[in-house]
This record gives sequence, structure tokens and C-alpha cells, in this order.
Amino acid sequence: MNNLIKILLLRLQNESHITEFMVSKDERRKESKSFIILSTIIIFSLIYLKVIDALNLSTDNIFKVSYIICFIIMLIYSFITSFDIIYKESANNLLLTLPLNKKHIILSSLFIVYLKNLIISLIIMLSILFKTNIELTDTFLIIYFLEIIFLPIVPIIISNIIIYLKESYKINKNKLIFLLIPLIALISYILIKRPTIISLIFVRSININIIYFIISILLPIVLTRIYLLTCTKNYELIIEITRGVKRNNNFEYQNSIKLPRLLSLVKKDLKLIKETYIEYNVLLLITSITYLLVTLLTNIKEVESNELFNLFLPLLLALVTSLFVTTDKETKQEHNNKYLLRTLPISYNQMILSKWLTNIVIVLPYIIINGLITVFTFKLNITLRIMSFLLPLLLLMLNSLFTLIVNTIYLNEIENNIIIPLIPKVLAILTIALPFFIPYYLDYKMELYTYTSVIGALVLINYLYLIIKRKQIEDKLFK
Amino acid sequence: MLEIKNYSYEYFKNKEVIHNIDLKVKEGDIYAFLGRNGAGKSTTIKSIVGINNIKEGDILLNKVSIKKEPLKYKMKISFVPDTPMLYENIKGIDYLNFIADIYEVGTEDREERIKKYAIQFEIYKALDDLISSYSHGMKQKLVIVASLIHDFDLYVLDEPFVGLDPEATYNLKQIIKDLSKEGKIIFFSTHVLDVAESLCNKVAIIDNGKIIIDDDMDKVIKKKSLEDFFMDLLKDE
Repeated sequence: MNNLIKILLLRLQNESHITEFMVSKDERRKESKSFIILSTIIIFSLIYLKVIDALNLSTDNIFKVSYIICFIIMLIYSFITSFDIIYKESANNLLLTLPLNKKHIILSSLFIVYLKNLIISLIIMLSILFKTNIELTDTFLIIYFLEIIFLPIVPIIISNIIIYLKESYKINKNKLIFLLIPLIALISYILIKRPTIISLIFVRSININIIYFIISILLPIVLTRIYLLTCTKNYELIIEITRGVKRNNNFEYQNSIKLPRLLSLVKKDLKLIKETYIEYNVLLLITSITYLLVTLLTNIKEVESNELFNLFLPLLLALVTSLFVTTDKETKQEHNNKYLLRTLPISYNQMILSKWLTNIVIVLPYIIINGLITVFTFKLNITLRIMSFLLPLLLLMLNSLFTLIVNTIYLNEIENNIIIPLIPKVLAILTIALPFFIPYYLDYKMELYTYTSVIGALVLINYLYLIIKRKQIEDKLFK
Repeated sequence: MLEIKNYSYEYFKNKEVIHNIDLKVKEGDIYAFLGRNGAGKSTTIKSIVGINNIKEGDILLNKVSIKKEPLKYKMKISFVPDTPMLYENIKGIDYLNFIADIYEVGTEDREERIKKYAIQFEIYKALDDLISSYSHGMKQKLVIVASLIHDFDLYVLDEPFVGLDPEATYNLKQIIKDLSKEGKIIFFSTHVLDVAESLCNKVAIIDNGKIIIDDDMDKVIKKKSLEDFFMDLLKDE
């Protein structure tokens, strides 16, 4: 049997093992992370179908918008998962010691990322079929399924090229490497803008479709080949650096600005959760770009504003930014060094406020960017303009605070319990998703005001709880 | 001056581990705080540096109470624990800058101190690496450099030589002596009695949560070595 097939089978066995009950804590964590991401995607898809209803898009536009969103979500998802699977997976250490081709090892890792992305492609692209009035002929279904199967490959390769460049920079420190990123962005833009096979079905003859179809299949294969030829050179070195083995011996002290305590705590937390910080920044940036692309490349901005659209728009903006919570990771890091902060001249309020501020510092720029895209794209009244900024910020504040409270109170249990860390995440998703599914009774302004007031009150209650329960929280955090 | 007044501590109700301690340590003193495992050394040190909340009694440094003004008090103390307490996911230099910010150390002063002590303890070139990649000894050296980043009044050192190589041990001893000459208080806990004997001018021995000896080192080692004195004392107890 071919070595590549042997490794693929091994990887598949390893992945299927994770779904079994008796697995290690780390694997169960990994599983719960996948569970959260998948449930979020399903809830997003349901919300997306609701939004499509509210927008009254044409069938052609539904496919265009879905294609862009699907492409970007897969780009994000593979960006999050690829690094761990390709460079951090402990099984890779074993595989590298065996007489196997390095490219086969990488390809087999990419295959796992592909399988995960295929689920996203299937969920989104199949769900929209229910919202169109298209005739499901055999030819259409064959082309459609092939498109779904090949769709994940391009975003996976693009995200992996970016990961490779980012990691290679740590080795070479050559800033020229980043000149390639605009090029990749340009290629991604062209790929997104190219007409999909599906949308061509409506306007072209089947012969032209076949040419596009062949391109659609060939393009991912060629891109994968290019990736394997160019982006595998530093594979072992990146693994080595990930393990923290290689040292930089050229350090020279550079002046650091003296910061006030609160800002210093925020800076420290940003550095402590650096991986999450970079990950979130990339994800949020991609989210904002997706939003911009959807508004620029489709006729969505010309859609006639209606009550449901007015209600969904600020909620949708809140949805895409407020899930980026970091306070759980910050609390965990603090608990790992539980005595350190106690010995330093830092007050409880400074510590709590810094955790909260760190989260806001990461997400706020994107709330502003998305708000500005909204204000400049749609003709909105003043209420909707304010809500486009306020609602995402309030929801982020609430999720961040609630996560901080749950993670602090159950700090000692979290190590052995995989359910507790899920609670704030599930509640956050539900809080945001709920208004989309509540029957629509009031007018949109009243509904938005009510929702905003409830969220605002909950933020206040959560903050007061942290102040009132100071003693217990301090004890939990430092004992 | 460091004053420990009527200090008692209990982890659980009616399970007192420290019983009514009174201690005074003057400026310039290198104070050896000795005792068996579980005698109450670490509990006392944790209270001096602010990890344990003090319920009974008080601890004052130059008249500033840890109970009443904890932040003002903590600004004056530096702590080197027996196991390094560090944020593993940041670089050594980021940790030092964070500590310098917290103690409000100016940019020039911090640069001078970081360069001086990091070079002296041979971790300067490793400062750009993640702390998680450091060995135990390197982590201990980083904690020591951080503890010297500011001009403190009190230096609490809990087994500071554990994991240090001979050169770093020698350097730290010299620094302790210099700090003492500058009038700083060194509160020093160790199980290595030879080091305590050669380095410290005052000694206190704690056993079962009570101070059983609090005297000048010269008087204690007048007739026999500190090790013999310590062993005889504990036999009697």
C-alpha cells in the first residue's frame, strides 16, 4: 500500500478515536473545541437562513453571498485548526522518525483539516438549497456536489501559506516575506470574485460551464502542488521552534516605555494570550473583510430596507464580534501563577479591570470597523447607526464578564471538567442567537431598545457581582 | 524596620499553624529564618509578602501595615520564592518590563538594572526567549533579576540558591552583602545552614509555629556551629 494512504488511514483512525468515550483530557478538550465550533457554525447557518429571508435575495445572489461566506469561514476555520494539526500534533514527531516522505506527512495533516472544512461546506451550501426555487436536476446536483467537495481546498491552502509565512518569519526575520501576503489577498479576492459554477448555470450554456468546471477542479490541485513544493522547506524547524527549543542569541535591550499599572497588566495579558490574540485579530480582520466583500460584491446594499432587516443588522454585527472572548484564557494563565500577583502592589479592581479591558482592546477596533462599513454602506436612521456600534460592544462586555465570573468561580473544577468551560460559550451563543428566533411582535426599534437594555442591565449586574463577591473571587483565584 | 506583631495564622478553624509570633528586623540586617519542614517558615513568609491574608496580628514595614495599606507596603518589598513564580508564555524581557512597570521603575533605571543583573547572572542573551523554554536555574535567575529591578526596603528570599550554579550563587551572596551595607533588610530562609552561618548576622528558628530562638548569629555560634546548635535545639524541643 502507498505510504500516503497508510498515513491517511492512521490519521483517520486517530481522529475517530477522539470520539470514543475513554480518551485523554487533552483529546476531550480538542473534541469540545470542535464541538463548539461546529455548533456555532450550525447556529450561524440557521441565523444565515433567517437573514436570507429578511433580505429577499435573488437565487443568483443567494449563491454568490453563500459562496463568499463559505469560503471565508473555511479560511478562518482552517487558519485556527491547521497550525495545531500540521505543526503541533504529537503524532507528527513519531511520523518524522519513520521512513516517510515529509510531503506525505504534511498532506495527510492537510487531509484532516480538509475533512473538517468539508462539513462546513456541506452545512452551508446544502442548507441554502432550501431557500432557492431552483430545479434540482441530475446535472445540477452532480456539479453542485463536486463544487462542494472541491470548495474547501483553496481556502485551506491559502490559510496554510499564510501560516507558513508567519512561522518562517520567526526563523528568517525577513520582512520581505510579508510582501507575499497582499499577493495572496489579491488571489483570494479574484477567487472569491470569480463566478461560481452554480451562478453560471443560470446564465451560460453547459459547454462554457464545463470549462469553468475543469478550472474549478484543477485550480485546487495546482495550488496544493505549489504549496507542497514551496511551503515545506522549514517544516522541521517550525516544529522545533513551536516546542521552544531554538534560542535567539542576538538579543539587545531596547528601551521600553514606562506604563501605568493598569496598562501594564493589559500589556502583560495581551502577551500571555499572544497566540489567541493573533488568532482573534486575524479572524476578526477576515470577518470584517468578508462583510466588506459581501457588501461590495453583491447587490445586498440595494436591498430595500425592511423591519426584519433593520432588526437583524445590528444583531448580526453583534454576533460576529461578541464571541471573541479572552477572559477565560486570561484567568487560567493567572491561576497558573496564582501567588505572583498577590505579592505585587496591584489592587483587585485593577486586576479584574485589566482582564476585561484586554478583551475589549482586542475586539473594539473591529466593532468600529464593522460599524463604519455598515454606516457607509446602508442608508440607516440614527437609531440603527448607534445600535450598530453599541449592541456589539455591550454584548462583548457581557460575554467577557460572564466568562470571567464562571471561569473564576469554577477555576479549580475546570481542570477536570470539560462541561464548565463550555457553559459561558454556549450561553453566549444562545444569548446572541435567541433574538433571531423569537417571534417578531414589536417594531424593530422597540425590540432593539428592549434587547439593548436587558444586555446593559446584565453587564451592570455582572460587574456588581464581581465587586460584591470580591473576597470569594480573590480566594478562588489565589488558593 | 520589619515588625511582625502578635501574628497567628490558621489554615482551618481551630488548626493554628503559627502561634503569636513577634519579630523585629532592623535595617542592614541579614536575617536567617530557619526551621524544619512544616515548622511554619513558608506560612510566615507568605504572610510577609502578602500571599496569605493576615487575620490575627499585623506586619509592618517602616510603619506601613500590610493589613491597612497593602499596596503601599508591597511597593517596598521584593520576593524570591523557593520555586520560581513566572508567566511561562511570555519572554523574559517582557516579564522584567512588566515587573518594572508595576513598581514604577523609570526607563533609564530599568535598562541599567536589567543589563547589569541579567549579564551578571548570564541570562541576558536568553531574555528574548519564552520563559517556558528556560531551565529551572534560568527561571530562578530571572526571578532574582526581577527582584533587583527596583530599590526595595525589604528583600524576602525563600531558598534563593536552589537551582543556581556556583557562579550565580557567589554573585547572589555578594549582592545580598551589598544590599545589607546599603541598609536594606534581608529576610532569608534556607535549609543550608552553612550558608546562613556565613551570610547572616541575625537568626531566628521557628518550630511548631513558635519562635524558639531570635538572636545575633555571633552569640548563637559562639560555642558550636549553627548546624550543631540547630540539631541540639530541635532534639531538646
